[in-house]
Amino acid sequence: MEGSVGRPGMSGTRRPSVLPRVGLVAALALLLAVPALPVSSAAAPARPASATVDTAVGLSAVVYWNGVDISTAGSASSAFSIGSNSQVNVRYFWNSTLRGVTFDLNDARLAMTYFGFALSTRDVPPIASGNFTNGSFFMNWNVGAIEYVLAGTFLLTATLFSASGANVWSENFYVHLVPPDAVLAIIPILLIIIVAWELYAVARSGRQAALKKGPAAPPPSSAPGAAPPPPGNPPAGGNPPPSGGSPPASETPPTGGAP
Amino acid sequence: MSAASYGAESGAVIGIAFVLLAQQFGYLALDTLLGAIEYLVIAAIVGGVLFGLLGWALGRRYLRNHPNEQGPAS
Repeated sequence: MEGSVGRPGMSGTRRPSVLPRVGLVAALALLLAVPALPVSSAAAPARPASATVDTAVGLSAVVYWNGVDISTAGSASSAFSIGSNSQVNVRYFWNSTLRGVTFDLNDARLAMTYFGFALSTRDVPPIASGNFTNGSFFMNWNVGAIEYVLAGTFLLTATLFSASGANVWSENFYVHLVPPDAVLAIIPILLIIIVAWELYAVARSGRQAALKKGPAAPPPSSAPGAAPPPPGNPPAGGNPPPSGGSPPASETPPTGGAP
Repeated sequence: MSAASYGAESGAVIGIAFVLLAQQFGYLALDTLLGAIEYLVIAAIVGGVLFGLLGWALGRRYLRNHPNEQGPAS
């Protein structure tokens, strides 16, 4: 039952099962989940907060992405666009909404997630540590080496942490990474090659199945003294005889059969 | 192995790759693990069924056009 017909254009080799190919695509997806190197930081000029988003009791904060509130990019369709080698000024502003209540925030984080894993995480300390009723964090963020590997829309999470490490505020937004120099990144190129190869395999599936099934008409059992087969039989795997020709003399008719 | 099986195998791979490509070109966001797996599984099933049917049809057509096709000597 197991034939020797392999992938299209590779007669004589066994066609691998679907698991290695699915595994290859899954490995590509997992490759994207490898944490990236942290990106460099630099201080940015201060900017007063002009809007607030209440997400925690007694604390409100707002984050600006190049001067634009990240709450405007809360869906994939309204994602911020960032190109290659682009530096983004990310500014966190927070304040206490309760009179006399202070907070000790010592960490602001910006994390890019993909498949639920942190693809890139960046942390910055506050300008001044201690208990305050308001404060700010400044971060210079760029994509880093990821831009050469993958592109597309990604979820970023801006988070503020207290001195005890508790998450006191967070907000999600989306960013669309544009590949550098209008050239596709590595992963999309690999995926396009895989899709093209599989489409070619589908187009050749009929012939592969026919070849693996073997000859349509089994040769007649040669009795001793029987006449040799007439010359001119088509070679194995060659072109079919012209239509209209007489079928080979056989006791069993050729079976067409479904693939 | 039938042509439909070949088509289903390739269709499952094409479906998974299609989802990943849709994310790479910005049409889809695969931010959560369960959501991404859900997309991938659905795409693999849909691709497998569609391309299985396509492979079946291609196999029928090939055998109809090449009734005396023989396998390689091995």
